Amino acid sequence: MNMKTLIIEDELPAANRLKNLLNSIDETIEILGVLPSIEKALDWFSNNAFPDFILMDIELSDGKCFEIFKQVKIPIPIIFTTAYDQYALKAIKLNALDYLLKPIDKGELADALKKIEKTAKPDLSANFSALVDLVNGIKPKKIAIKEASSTRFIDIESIVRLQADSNYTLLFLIDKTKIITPRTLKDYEDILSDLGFFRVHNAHLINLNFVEKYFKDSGTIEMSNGNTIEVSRNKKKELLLKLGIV
Amino acid sequence: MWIATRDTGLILMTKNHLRFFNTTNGLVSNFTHCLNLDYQGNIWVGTNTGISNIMLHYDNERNCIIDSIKNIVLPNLKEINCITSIKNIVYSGTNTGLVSFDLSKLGINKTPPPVYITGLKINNKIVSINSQKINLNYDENNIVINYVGLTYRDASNTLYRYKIKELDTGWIYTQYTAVQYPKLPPGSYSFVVSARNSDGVWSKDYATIGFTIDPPLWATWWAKASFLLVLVLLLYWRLHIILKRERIKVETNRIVTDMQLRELREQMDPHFLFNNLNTLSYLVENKLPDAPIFVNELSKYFRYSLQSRNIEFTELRNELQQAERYIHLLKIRYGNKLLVHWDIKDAMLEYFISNHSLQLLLENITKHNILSEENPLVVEIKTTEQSALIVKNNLQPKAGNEESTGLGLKSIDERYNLLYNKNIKILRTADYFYVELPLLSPYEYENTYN
Repeated sequence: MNMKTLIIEDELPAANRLKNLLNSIDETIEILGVLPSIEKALDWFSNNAFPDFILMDIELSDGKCFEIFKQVKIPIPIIFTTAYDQYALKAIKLNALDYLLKPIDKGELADALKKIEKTAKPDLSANFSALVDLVNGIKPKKIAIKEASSTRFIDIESIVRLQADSNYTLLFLIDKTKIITPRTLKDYEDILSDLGFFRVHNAHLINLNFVEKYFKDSGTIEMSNGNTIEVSRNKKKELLLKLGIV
Repeated sequence: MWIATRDTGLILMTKNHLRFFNTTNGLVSNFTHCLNLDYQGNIWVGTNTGISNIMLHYDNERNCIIDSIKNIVLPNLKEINCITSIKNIVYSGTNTGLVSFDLSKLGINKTPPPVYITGLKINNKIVSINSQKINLNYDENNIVINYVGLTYRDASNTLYRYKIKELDTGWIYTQYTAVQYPKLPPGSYSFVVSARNSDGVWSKDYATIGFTIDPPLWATWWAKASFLLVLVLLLYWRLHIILKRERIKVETNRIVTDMQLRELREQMDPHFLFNNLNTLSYLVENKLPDAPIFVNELSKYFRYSLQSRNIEFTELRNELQQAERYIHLLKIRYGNKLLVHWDIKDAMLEYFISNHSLQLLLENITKHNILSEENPLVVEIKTTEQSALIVKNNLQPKAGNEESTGLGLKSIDERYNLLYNKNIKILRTADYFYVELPLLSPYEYENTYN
């Protein structure tokens, strides 16, 4: 199929490289333009129809790309690119959006393109508004969970705990529902540790708000949903500190 | 008319007037029994304890003037009931019989009475006087001194005078033979006393006693000295602590600055690294001739960063070289979006500059400003006559970019301040951003660096 894309990137070599990579993966992909700045991007969106997807560098010549979402609702998938921007990456992960790290790996780019081809046009505007909130320093309320054909938004405050299951993660919610997600527990730890979650064990990430009891002798905790969770010996001290027991 | 009374001495009655003569006037006793006028008009008074001879005359208005009163006290001359005199011979009737004496032979007592200290009481306890110098504690300060003047005639009319040299300005007169000082303050004292017999002759020598009341322990000189010493020590100690704290503060400041700068220097700036690697991928994939040059520059840049981590100040030459590499790498990525103008005087190349400072400035400038074809970022780097390096750029801040914390600039400034007592200058206007970094001559660098 003949996909159309837009490259938003301020460094010419990087943009040229993307062009080359896209062409080598799929010759039919049509690159509508290369835009170096927020200003140019906004200008383009007000004069053109949306392409099928966008490749967007986070750091643009006149600011961070998230400024664009404040002005335009973008109803198409975006693949973010960045060399190294931990904070922005956290925001992207929290919203279950696609991203690629520079130098861009051809295989990863090909995978991302395949994923976009497969999905029917989803409405992603909600993701981006949450992203803008996060970049503006507003504490995020929801976390995005990618499902087969849609994105599900879950209240972070409703997650009691998360449990690792090889490359998948089980989410235990306050209403006793259980969700399986294809992301590692480490991913969740990265994005949730600032939001009241703590990794008490290799296999367990817990919401500190739902800790009911701490058993000193067995070194376990009981969550408010009745689950008993093991605490690693080397995490004990930090946990007690976080709970304000010590 | 003269009247002798049993308890008020003599009374002289004139027309409408009474005059009294008693012991206060010098009479031997107020218990008078008899009186007699002799051929000279003088009055002889017989009392229970002796005889008084009052010499007097009358002035033109017939007023009686007393010239002198002389008392005769003898062991067998008591309770004189009658008295008369014929020329110089005085006859008196006493309780032991008739006593007569020749007035001309009865001279005045010219013997000075010797005077002695007879006793000492401290806090109402009798203390023996062994030595001339007596040491007392500060609370042994209620002192009674007894003394006596020896006279063989008319002892009751002995008059004393005494003083404590250190306390009294004049003599104190008394007929008592004891004096009490109830609350003497600490100090060294000498008490002196002398006596006068009834004929007005004073002792030849003083009787004296010296004593010292020690101050309480806390008031002794060495106590005061120790106190002062302790105070001085405390002050010194306190000062020492304050100075130490100040030193620690300065040292800590320095260490913190060190760490901040080192951290900044050590930061490989991952963003920069990965972007460059991305560029490199592009150059290599397209077999562009720039690729080897780019790899070379990139290697040199990171090698210098690593090698110069622990250097505080470096020659401007080195800092400029590194800046050139940095800008070269940036120009490959940004092309004409970034323009740099150099104006460096060769003489300044051997001057010293805070290591990594220019580098840090350039990083900040490119991070916070818009780089675009239409509005290129223009950076001027030049030396001045006043030994400074100026870095100036046009201000075109990026949107939504959080205000820079200025931590990097601050730590460079602190470094200059701590080591060379100099400051960097920062000027921000609506149009441009301007920083002036001091350059140190090799002499300054050698001599002020601590």
